[in-house]
Amino acid sequence: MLTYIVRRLLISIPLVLVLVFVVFILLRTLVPGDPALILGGETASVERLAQIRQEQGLDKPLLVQFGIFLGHVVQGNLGRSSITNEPVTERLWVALPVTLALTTSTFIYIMILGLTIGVVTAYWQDTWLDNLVRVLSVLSASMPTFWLGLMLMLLFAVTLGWFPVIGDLSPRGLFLPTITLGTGSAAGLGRLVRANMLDVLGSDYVRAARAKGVRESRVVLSHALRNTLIPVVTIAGFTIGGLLGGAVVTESIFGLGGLGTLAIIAIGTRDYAVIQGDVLFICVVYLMVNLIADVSYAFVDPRVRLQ
Amino acid sequence: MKQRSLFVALSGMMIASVLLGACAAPAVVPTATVPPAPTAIVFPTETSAPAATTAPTAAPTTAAAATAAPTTAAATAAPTTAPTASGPAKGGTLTVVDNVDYATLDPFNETWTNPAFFEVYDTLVNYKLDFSGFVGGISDSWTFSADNKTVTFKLHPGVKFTDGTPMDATAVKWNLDHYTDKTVPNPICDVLCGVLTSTAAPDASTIVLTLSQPFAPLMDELSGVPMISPAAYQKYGKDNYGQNPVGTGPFVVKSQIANDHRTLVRNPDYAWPPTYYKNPGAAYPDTFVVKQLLDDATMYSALETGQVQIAPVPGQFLAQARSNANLTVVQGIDQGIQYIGFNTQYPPFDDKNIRQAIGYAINRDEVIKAGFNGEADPIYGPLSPAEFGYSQAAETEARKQSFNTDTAKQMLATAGWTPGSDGIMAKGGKRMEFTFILPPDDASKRMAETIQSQLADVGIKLNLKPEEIAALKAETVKGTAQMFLLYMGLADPRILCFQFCSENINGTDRTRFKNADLDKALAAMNAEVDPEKRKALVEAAEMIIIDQRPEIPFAVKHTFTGYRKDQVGGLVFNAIGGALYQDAYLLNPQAQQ
Repeated sequence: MLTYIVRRLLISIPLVLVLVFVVFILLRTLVPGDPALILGGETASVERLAQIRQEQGLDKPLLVQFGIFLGHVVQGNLGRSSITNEPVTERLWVALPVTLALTTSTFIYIMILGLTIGVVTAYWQDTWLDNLVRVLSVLSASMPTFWLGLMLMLLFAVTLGWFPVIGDLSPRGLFLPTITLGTGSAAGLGRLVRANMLDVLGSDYVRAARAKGVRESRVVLSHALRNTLIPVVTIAGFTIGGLLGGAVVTESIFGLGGLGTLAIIAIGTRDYAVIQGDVLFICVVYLMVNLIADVSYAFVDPRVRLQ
Repeated sequence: MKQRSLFVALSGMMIASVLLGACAAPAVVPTATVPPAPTAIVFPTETSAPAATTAPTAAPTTAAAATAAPTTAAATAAPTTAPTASGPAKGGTLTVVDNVDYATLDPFNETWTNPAFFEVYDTLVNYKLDFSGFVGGISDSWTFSADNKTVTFKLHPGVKFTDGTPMDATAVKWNLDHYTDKTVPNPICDVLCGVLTSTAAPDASTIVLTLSQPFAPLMDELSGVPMISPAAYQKYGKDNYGQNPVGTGPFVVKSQIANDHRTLVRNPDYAWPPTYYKNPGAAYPDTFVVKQLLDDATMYSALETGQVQIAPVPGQFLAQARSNANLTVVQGIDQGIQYIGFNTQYPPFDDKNIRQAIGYAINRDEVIKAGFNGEADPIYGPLSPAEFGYSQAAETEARKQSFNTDTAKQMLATAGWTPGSDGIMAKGGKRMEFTFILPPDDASKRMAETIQSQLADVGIKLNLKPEEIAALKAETVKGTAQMFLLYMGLADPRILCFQFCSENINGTDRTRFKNADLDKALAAMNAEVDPEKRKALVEAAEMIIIDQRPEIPFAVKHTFTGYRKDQVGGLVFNAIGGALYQDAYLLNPQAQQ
């Protein structure tokens, strides 16, 4: 187990490096738009533009720029935002609580709703309940996030006034953003769990357990559900990784300043340092979360041997 | 079988609708009647739907006079519900949505004079509310020397920074010296570095500026130079000052997250606001929160529910806002203009007759309808009526080049262009097919489409290419743009030099325009300190621009700010509809904590 983890960690390092390098180069070559123009503002003279490019190191060869960047990264310095001059780590740190809160609440919501939908529709397959829930699931999965968010806001915040329009980190403030962000994924998870449950509920050991007289709820929730968990763990890994990267649309609609907002503004203002720092952060988080997911397979399913 | 007939029916309907759409006759567009040029700044007008129930002490909202001559410096009166005899109640949290790009409160790092500065900083002088002149800020008075190369300011006594250090002539000198330090690039240096040669502080309340030449935009520039605490800047250093800004202004920063929000608290010692305010001292609310929101619907909903008290009103919610009994909508006009720009180095746009011809092909009313649903005024000259130096005579002259497709076609023919077999104008193997780059927002797309169809009527084909603003500007700087759609504005007419002085090609001269007469005229304009004489020089420069047409201005947007009249009072609005908070108070401070 330990060697597995160590090996995975070691492989992650070149992976992260390559990804950051690709983003680094793409930003400076393919993405149109000159950061110096943005930093200089509307009235910058030609001389000041040149001065800015020199200050930001934009006039050096690409590989040299990357080398300098790497040198800073290993010292824990992700550089400074060219727009606000704050350290990039500070910008990430400040946006993190919002993203962590939203990720936690949304993840819990997705798991509870998705598993419930999956178990209920599998158990009562082909009944009116199954069909109703499946139609609702397809609807929610196809609803664009921004539409759902605005509809929820219109109904529950503006008309009924039960929740604030602009979200915050309180339970009331997180409620609508969570529903907006999580419903589509919950529907998707529900379908997956349903498919797996149907499979498992028809298997021999379930039939044997019923024959033995085990209580039905124990058969479904304790025996059957546990065996559908491997794909659920995979999905959970991707979901958490994705959520931690920031939810641009939901954050925009509810005015939450998380990592999604940070990314979209950094891209719009060509704030290279923040974009790179954010990409690096998301990369590392994604790899860590998936590592945890892979390791947890061994706990969920004793047959799995980590190699 | 049922399925097949359904399929046939649906396909039939689809084909029919496509045919109907294609066959729709284009509406006959009469030649647009050109309204006379506006005389001067039109002050913001307030519209407010009547309240559903009569509030006990509410005074009726006064709708400000529709036209105000420039000499009237009076601000529009906001609802004056004063709950107590001793003045408005103190306390509460005033929350405002301000989507103006704000990056940092460090003036050495910010790219422009951000209005956010005025929350925490003061300046030597302030613009009057109608932008017709200046009043003292932290200075009480000023005198120019006979040759206009020296200005002596008398500072208001007793002004302190919020860290306790005095705001005196030494501090002002430190500020001006650092802003004009060429090794620290900042937008103030762009203007002042070539002009301000030295500063002197003969005593604690006198500061003397010496200029290299008479410089007309000096006051305009100084109205945007924030005075920061030298002690604080030295303590925190250039890297950390932005997170710990210290000024003399009405509020002090408590916390800020860039591009999300900033929370400020009242500066209890504040006692030196510009004289046009009623409140001579500290602000009334305890806390002032400025929130930035990316989504228009969220912004309006937050205003509707009262979670914020003041916010810009996006165009699509205007009708709703005007009929909302809790809201007052203040309408002002933009200080900038929307325009079509030419790369004047790209043939055939190097020929002014072609540029003029295209101007004749533009029906501004249609473009404004498409882009702003009518909420903009047509403009033909390069300055908005809200800019100092706007000239009615110049605008009238510009309006002679009004929408006329026949004139446009004639001018193209005179220049040797004739319609080719595909209807597109051609000359010597070249066709009039151009790439038109525009910002990616919906309004710009609709306007560009309208312009595209108007130019198609005279045989010019435009290929629309929406681009992110950063990329669009980069193209104009590199010189790869052909025609572009953009917006530009500033309070002082020196904007014309940013736009058209040949030294700014590869920079802010996006049309790459180079004209020796105009360069001379703009230099003269910037050197003339006397406002009346300067206005004449601005007009002269404008006439050259109108004749040469490096750009086709077409609209001045209306600005809309909405506020909860049941929650906030005392708001003061300047001529461009910007809200100012010195007199602002919460009607019920306990409700907004």
